[in-house]
Amino acid sequence: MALLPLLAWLDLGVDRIEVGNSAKGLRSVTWAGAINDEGRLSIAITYDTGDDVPRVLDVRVPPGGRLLTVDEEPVIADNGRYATVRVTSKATVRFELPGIVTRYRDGAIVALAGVRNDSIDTERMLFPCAICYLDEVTYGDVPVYGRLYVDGADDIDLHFLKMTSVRSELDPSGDSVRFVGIDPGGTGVSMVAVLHDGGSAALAGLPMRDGNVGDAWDRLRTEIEDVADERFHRPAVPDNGNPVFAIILTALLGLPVLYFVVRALWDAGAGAAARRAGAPDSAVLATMTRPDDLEPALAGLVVGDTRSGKQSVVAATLLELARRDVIEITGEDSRRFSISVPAEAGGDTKFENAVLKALRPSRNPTGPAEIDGPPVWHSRHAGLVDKTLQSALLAEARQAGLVRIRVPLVLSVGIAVAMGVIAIIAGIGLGWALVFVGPLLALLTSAAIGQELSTKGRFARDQWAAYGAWLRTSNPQLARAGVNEVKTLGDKLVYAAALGGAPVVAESLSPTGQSTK
Amino acid sequence: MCGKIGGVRQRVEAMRSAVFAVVAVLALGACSDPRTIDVPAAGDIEMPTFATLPVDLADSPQLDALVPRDNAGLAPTSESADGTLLAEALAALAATDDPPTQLTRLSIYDDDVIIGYYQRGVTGLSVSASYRRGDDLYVGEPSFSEDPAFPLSAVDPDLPQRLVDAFALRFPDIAVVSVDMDVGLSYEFGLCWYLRLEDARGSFGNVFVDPDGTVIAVDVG
Repeated sequence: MALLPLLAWLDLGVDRIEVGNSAKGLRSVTWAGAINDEGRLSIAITYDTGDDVPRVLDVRVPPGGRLLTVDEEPVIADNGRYATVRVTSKATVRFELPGIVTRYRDGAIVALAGVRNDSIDTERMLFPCAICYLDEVTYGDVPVYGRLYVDGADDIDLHFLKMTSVRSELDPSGDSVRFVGIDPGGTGVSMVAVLHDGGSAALAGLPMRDGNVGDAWDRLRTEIEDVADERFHRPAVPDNGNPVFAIILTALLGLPVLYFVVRALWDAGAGAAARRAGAPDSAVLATMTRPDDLEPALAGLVVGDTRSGKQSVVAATLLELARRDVIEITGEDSRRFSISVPAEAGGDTKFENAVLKALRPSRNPTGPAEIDGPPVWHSRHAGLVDKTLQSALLAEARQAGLVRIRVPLVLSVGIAVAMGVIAIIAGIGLGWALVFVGPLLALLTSAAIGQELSTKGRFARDQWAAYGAWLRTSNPQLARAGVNEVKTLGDKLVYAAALGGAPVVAESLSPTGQSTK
Repeated sequence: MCGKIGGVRQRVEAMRSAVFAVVAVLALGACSDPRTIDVPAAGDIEMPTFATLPVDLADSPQLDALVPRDNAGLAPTSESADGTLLAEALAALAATDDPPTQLTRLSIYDDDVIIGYYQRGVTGLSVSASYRRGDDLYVGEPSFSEDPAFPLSAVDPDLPQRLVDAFALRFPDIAVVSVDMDVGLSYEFGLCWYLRLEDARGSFGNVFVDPDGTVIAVDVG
């Protein structure tokens, strides 16, 4: 997403034209022309093939063209107009062309376009058909760069035929106009330049004709457009980008950052207030009671590994179910015991039910189960059980407001779509891609970054961590207690298993055999 | 379980890698497209220059295109045109009763000059005059023709000999066998001088020269 603001800022002052189906064998054509005061045009056309393949170029000069050179070398030409040369990589064809500028009392017309035999005159163009006269060039779009030098260029209109996506800019010096466009197909481009008062004044050595330049241009345009399958079009003013879009995109990109900053400040303030209001001090620990009735598994979840020691939320849940007589744990100690799960046994929470379901045989998920342990969980199934129970516990924790997704989907997906839409409106690349790919990326990003404790969860963590510490320090018998002692030790053993105060039972009842699981 | 929230670190790392890979591909796609073009910058395209007329016509740049053939050291069999005849021929024409201001043809050879024009300026009433040194100007009988005319004022009487001299200096084995000014022989160059070249093998090519002496094209073959 950061690419969009970057592209938007980079686009400022630049109006790029995308070349679609590029012609092979001709990277670009660059046209340069200068008009002297006698109306003679000096022309240089550079063909850039874009590779080092030797090619044959059949040079075609418009009628009247003279002083033909290729790469500054004069060449032999039939009637001065037709020549054949071998070129590699780049070739510049130069010649002079009198007689194409017509001066009127209020302007002049430079016509590199015309009609012959009721069709476009292919010999009188800005440059001739490249794919016809340059070997091994495939049909496709050819970028065309150009510059017309004439005194008074600030008062000139360019009109093009067979060239698309045309942009032009007046040179700051006022002595030339630069343009760019695409020759679709590489079949040649026609151009008419209409010079108004300023331009015509530079043609003092050219005889003046009757009439005005506007009427003359209308006649010429009508004559040519009558035989062409399109109308002349003028270059568009370059779109140099809109800083508003760049600012909006940057602001949207900054929203997640702002969100995290505000949330961090909010969490810090809320946490401090909560600690001031409810955190137990050392004096209280001596007589501490359980903070609240939070399910043992959730208590273990929020405390996590903030302390060292062996703990298991699954073991705590099994003990809690046994304490409530939902299941029965019998045996002499933690080295040899049995768990009986009656068919009708049911938990009070989703996680308890998930644990009960995991205990039952997969072929009869509602039937009774008898498990001798340890281990309680078959090693082949332990990983799957662990993953399943983890998902169930996280879902329950989210429901209880103890954990939250680090990057809210409404934020990430919303911003991705909004940025994509704005990019499309602004004409910035990747807009459409972001609209469709952005939400997917946002989902992946949120999933990858994961979840964290909410403010409520952190407050609960502090409370239960303190309670866990009290269990470990004030109830040393819990550390050595066996699974069969849950009836006598009650909920203290249950929570000790979840909070790291009863490593023996935690290890005996946890799915992977590792007590931290 | 749940020693750490979302504690499946390997899966998280894999997902992160996937996200970064997608972003990287998009970034590369955005940045590696070379097919965008823009209006050329101010200094990108140089201004083409115009040819200048050299003081010595033998230095005409366009003549660099002309490469003499191997003639085994033999000189051309034809004589070069005598450009000095032109001034004499035009003087003789001016001395006639009805000197023309427009011509339809001017051809200079090694020993004579042919001048075409319309009698009394009447289009269609074409006459041809021939001049040889030491003889009077011979004017033929009129015949019908509508060849386009050009002004006599466009003719620089000294230029043909300067051109012949320039070729003799630069290409001693090539003879300029005729120098013509004729709208029909000017093709699409506008009015120009048309020089026929021969070497020992025979006809070699043609050269087009502006009325001011600028060699504008060379055609061989």
